[in-house]
Amino acid sequence: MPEPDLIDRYLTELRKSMSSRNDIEDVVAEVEDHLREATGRLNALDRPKSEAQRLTIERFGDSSLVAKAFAADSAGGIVMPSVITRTSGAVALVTAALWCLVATLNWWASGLSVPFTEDRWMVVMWVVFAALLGTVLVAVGMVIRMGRRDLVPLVAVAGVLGAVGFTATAWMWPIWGLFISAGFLLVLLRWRGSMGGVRLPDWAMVAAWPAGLGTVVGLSVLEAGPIDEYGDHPVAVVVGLAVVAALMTVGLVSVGSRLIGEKSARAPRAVVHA
Amino acid sequence: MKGQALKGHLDLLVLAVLADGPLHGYAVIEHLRDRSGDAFDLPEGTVYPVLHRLDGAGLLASNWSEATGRRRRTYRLTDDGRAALVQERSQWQQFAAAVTSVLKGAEPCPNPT
Repeated sequence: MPEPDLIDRYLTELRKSMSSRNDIEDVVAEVEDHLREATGRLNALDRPKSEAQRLTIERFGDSSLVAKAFAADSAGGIVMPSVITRTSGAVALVTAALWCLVATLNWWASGLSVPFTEDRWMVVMWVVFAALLGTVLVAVGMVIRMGRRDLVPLVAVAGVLGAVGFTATAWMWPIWGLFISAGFLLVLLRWRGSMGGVRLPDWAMVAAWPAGLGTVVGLSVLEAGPIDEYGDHPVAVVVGLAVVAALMTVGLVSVGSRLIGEKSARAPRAVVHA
Repeated sequence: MKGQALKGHLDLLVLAVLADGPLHGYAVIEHLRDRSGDAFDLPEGTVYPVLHRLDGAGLLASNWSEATGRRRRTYRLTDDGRAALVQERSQWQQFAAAVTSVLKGAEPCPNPT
């Protein structure tokens, strides 16, 4: 009767424990290379095959332990600033300026100072779209900085779709805005371990949209300013968006200045002899 | 040294081992064991998740080849990895110096006789 191959059995167990991984075949191939190499060395020392395999597997660790180690180690560890994260810091500062421009242009297009025109409104919408895209890029940079590159496609796709939806249905801006706040809340909660933790001004990005919505509702209830042909209070919307812009600026400058100020990992190129 | 005590330092150790040149997983572990004088006692399989994460983070790069009829993955340090090693090693040296300094102060005084 042939001896059972303990390595084959171990690899089958490992494959079962890690079946949800996309790279399972690569992991198994790599582990098999390790186990066969180690067994071969013990065989060379005149250890019988089964004993060599048993010792090798013991040293490698139980398959469930190794699977757990892979699951636990998918994030964390050393995550260095990079050209991408520094660039997203610069984008944050530009985006902060764009949000200020949005607030100013919104006042200009609101009909409070000069008559309302569609052309002016379109200008505002294009700047809003640019500010939203910039905000998405900042979120992507933050996600990369906290070492979760796996989340980048999700954040980027959801962000761009959100930006298009926001701009196309701008009358629903409070709802879209709350999505932005919720997104930054999730990012900041995950970001606490990066770059020395989250600072108070960072939370302004989360507070911006609820505060802006609250301002609009409050001023509308107080019937501040004139009523337009849609029954809205333009003053309430102008002031509400100004609150949003101010808080987004505070948060973006806080995050952006830190991201851009970090030394990029690509900077030192000295060869290290450890 | 048990695996738990090594946790948090493995990244630095793996980067340091790979600073001398490309190695496959088994050789990385062998170098870790040899260079530590067999002091590191951890399940060898737990080193692979670290290699994969560092690879994913861009601190290592890897490529596959054929060796004795098997697929073999070899890792090498990237420029970002070298920069991370410089930074992490400097932080470790500062930390170790501080701990050593504190421990020196805690050395028991010789008994007065």
